[in-house]
Amino acid sequence: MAEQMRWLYLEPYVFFNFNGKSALLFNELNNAYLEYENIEDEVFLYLCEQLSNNENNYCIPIEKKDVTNYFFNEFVRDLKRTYSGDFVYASSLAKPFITKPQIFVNNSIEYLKRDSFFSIGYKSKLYLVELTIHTGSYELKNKCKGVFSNYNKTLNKSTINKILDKLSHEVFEYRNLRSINLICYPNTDMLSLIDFIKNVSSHFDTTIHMELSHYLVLDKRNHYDNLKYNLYIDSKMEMNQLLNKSILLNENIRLCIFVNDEELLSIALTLCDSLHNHVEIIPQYINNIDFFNKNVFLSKDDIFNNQSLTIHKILTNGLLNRIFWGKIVVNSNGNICPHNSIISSNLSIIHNSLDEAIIDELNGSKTWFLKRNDVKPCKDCLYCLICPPISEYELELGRFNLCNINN
Amino acid sequence: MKAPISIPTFVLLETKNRNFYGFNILSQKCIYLPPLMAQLIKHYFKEGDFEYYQNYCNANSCHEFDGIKYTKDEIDYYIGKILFFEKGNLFQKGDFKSRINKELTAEDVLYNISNSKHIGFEVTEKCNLDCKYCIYGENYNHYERRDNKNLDFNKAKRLIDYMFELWCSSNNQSINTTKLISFYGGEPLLNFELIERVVDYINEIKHKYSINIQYNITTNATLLHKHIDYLVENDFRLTISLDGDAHHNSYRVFKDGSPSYDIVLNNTLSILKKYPSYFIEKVHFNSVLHKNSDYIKIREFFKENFNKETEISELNPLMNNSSKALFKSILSEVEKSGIDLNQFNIHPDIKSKLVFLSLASKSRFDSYFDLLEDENYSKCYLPTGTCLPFSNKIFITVNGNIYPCETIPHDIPLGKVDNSTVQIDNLEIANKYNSLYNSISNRCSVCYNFNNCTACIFLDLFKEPNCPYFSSIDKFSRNFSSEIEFFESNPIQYSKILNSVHNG
Repeated sequence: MAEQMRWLYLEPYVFFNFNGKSALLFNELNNAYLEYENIEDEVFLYLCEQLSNNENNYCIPIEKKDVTNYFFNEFVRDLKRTYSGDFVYASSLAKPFITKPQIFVNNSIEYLKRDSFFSIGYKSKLYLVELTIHTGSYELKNKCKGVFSNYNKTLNKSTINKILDKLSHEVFEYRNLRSINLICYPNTDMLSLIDFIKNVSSHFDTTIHMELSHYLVLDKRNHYDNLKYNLYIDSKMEMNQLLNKSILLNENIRLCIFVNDEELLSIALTLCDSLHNHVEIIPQYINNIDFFNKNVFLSKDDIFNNQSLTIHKILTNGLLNRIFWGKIVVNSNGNICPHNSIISSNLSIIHNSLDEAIIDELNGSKTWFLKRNDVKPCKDCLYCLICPPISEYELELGRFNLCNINN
Repeated sequence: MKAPISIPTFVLLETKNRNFYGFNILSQKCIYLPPLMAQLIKHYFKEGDFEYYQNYCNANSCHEFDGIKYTKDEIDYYIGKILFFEKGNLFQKGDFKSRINKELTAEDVLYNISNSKHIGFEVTEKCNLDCKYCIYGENYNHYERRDNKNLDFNKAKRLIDYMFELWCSSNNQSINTTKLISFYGGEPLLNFELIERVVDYINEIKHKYSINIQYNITTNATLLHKHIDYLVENDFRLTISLDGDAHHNSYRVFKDGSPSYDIVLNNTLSILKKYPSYFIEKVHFNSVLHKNSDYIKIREFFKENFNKETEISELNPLMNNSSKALFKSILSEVEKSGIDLNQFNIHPDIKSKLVFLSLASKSRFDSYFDLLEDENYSKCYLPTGTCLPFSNKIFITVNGNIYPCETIPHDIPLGKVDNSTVQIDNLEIANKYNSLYNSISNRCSVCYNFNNCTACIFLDLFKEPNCPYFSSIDKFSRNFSSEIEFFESNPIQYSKILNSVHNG
């Protein structure tokens, strides 16, 4: 009989993560996942280490003595049961070639920084995909919530007009820019937005964000009829009043409901049932950690039952932040920054132009590249690439582990 | 309209090492198949069911294949796994034609010129050497005839003005990036006056446009001793054409047949002595591999003499049939040398390996945009792997003809700079490309290499419209298997190549 080799291998549609103590495996074809916590068996630890080593490409030879190891056999049984890998005897002495899933970007920022003459500015305008403009402000800091993050005691309307005037030309320089969000406050001069909106709305997906109460008293005079609106609600009274309003039938309107307790959540869910895609529930953190723990924190099932989870997304999470990527915010005083919570927290990452903001983000200003594998406590968690990217929420709350994975 | 041709997209492969694989062209999933599973898949594709095996197992306690005995449970397991793959659409048939239905538009052409990284000037047709393999020599027919002409400065200036305007237009998507200005020949230093005038002019206007410039010259180095101070002063990136030692460089001779090697070596060593840091940072080499040279020895020569790598290229493939004997393949050279490729820093044929890995593993993305593209989106391709017009470079010859690069044949210029204007008609260029694409697209629509093609419609398909790179399922299987064999034998090259090579 020909000489045989024993190979243990994982399939290329499987994501495998090992942190030296525990191992996690996710199969993107059937969403199956296997987790091995606090492994103590030396043979199994060694196998996990070898499988996670990039040089082995998910395929390792198995010695005869290890074939009888209990943990090894359990692991193989799990792999076979979930079609995630196999242990085979093969007459071929050549190691099977497994295309271990990995992701590399040819023109990565690291490459462009190293390159002698192209630099990170090469085609970097293409990265801007969404622009948010604050057209007013709250005078009291504690009124700011969610997208309405602009706090500015002395709002200068002529500054806003200048900004809009400048942007109404500039936005056309960005070939991949798709969406423009106008954040409107009660002190926004809505008439001053008309020219800007006329200029951009036929080219970009333009959405006006305002509180419902503001919208209801808005003198629309047909100027804003065909636009998209995100209308924000944060009280039970407003929600109950809404149930009978014709506004709910307007396809261009999306209701964004801030919820911070069970009762609000229940009413919001009722609206969701009847309006489906036209309602977005936005959890609001007011030291209500129990509410968050129950309704917001992700569980393992939440993560793995997400049908859209793929290895491609998991690996992309290790390279960049899919939520923040390509987004820039312009404040009412002309300051430019990568996301709303920086405005509210008055952090000093501000730029004078969209180009400068893009370059700074690409240079590693830690928003477009804000990844869980770089921040504690997520970086030590087996799930750090599998969890959804860090959101604005977590930045506002100042904590990154909105989950029930590792208590 | 004809219905799309639905063809199998799952290819079953066996390597010389007797390992089996399945590869789906559309989903780009390459899966190792244990021997029994490969046998079951073959049977399933032929018969459409597993009845034979199921009956066999019911009647016998075990089944032997390739010297290995399998139990009924094992056979049932692999049947289950095959059905799992089928449910995951791994065996689906597909239609390549709908994936290569893109057309180039005038807007695409304008976008590409405006974002072009590079202007190349053919400074002069004159050359003081008479290299045996020169594309303007007797071995090639498709390049403009050499009349010892020089490029007129006014034509160069017109193209510079035209490009600077586009680089500053809203179509340009770069921010503060550097553009490359290159001087080629002939031997460009034979028209040094033009180089000076172009550099002076660009240095004068570049501040107005806020554009950073890197100058680049490719020279045979025979006249470098006269001009090196100027090149250093203007921070030129200097590429010296040298094929190796005196023997390897023997095709690079003066008009009288005398060798150029000693002069080139002396000039190069002088730069190293006079401008050591410039030499380290800005001096590069390129070498041509031909029938009298040796890949490994060329590399050793540059390492020993200059502590540098050289970029080794094969001869331009458009040579006349009678000259094919000059040609030597890099890969066959290295394979012959018996070097352990796992120890080899950079695989000589690394770009083709990268092309294979990009197809087989779907792990290499050109940019962050590609990374963020919807995974379910069926990407459409233009036929062939031809660079989009001017996406890398715009090149002007001494006659004022405009091409997308200096290597493609000069039979089809894409534009012209005359005494008063730059004539580039974006629509006409798009139509020209689309017409060339149309001539090949039917072939591409049944080609198994359609989403990984590297053929240039000007270089590789120019003389052979039937496409020498066309891959039937059999040819694709053979090539794909041979690529896998390389990685079976050199497993650590997989991550190494994906991680470290830039497909520039």
